[in-house]
Amino acid sequence: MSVTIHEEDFDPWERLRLLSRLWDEGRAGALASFIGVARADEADGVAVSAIFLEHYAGMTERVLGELEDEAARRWGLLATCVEHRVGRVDVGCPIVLVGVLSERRGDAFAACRFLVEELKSRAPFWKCEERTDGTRHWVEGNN
Amino acid sequence: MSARVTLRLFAWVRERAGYGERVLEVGEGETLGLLLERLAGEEAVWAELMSEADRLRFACNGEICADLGVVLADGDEVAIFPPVTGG
Repeated sequence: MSVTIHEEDFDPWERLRLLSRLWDEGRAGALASFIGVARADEADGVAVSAIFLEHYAGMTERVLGELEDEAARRWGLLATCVEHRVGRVDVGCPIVLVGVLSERRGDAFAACRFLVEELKSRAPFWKCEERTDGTRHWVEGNN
Repeated sequence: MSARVTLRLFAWVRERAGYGERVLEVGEGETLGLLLERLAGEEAVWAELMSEADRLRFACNGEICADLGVVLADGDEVAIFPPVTGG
């Protein structure tokens, strides 16, 4: 189980490779992952150029750790990782990675979805869109 | 005897208030709700923010407060922020 907050771009594939090393032990039968990426959205007719992410350091790590513990209890997972960017994220760069290693695919899919959805509704992160016209706009709602 | 609590603000709440952190004196037995009521009575920006309280979320020592009845103690950290939008 690991939670990492990144202040710079991170490589989700490298993190997944680390998680996959546990395959060598022979128990894992499934790895499910989710990568959320900053999208070149258009808002009010103006393109988004970057996302600025703010968070509540301390509370963030605790909430994410509790979610990992809860997922491990419910689905009996072998390993998980939750990685999240803060600061300025350019369009096309990863914002979040959730990786789940388990014995069977059903548990991996369910736990990965649980972690993503609960992170989005409980972890104290806030997105601010930076638009190409120089304006900034705090995102409301979290679909 | 008065106690001191740290107020932390995030996202547009921080920008509207003009600061991210502030230490406040609170009276014995003062709840988070009473503190916010007092601030709203003393400062225009808080009167404005509290008029939109349904858009705000509150935490005490990193735990979300379901209501504002939590009694504040010396050293507590209170945080006020919009609904979260991570992921």
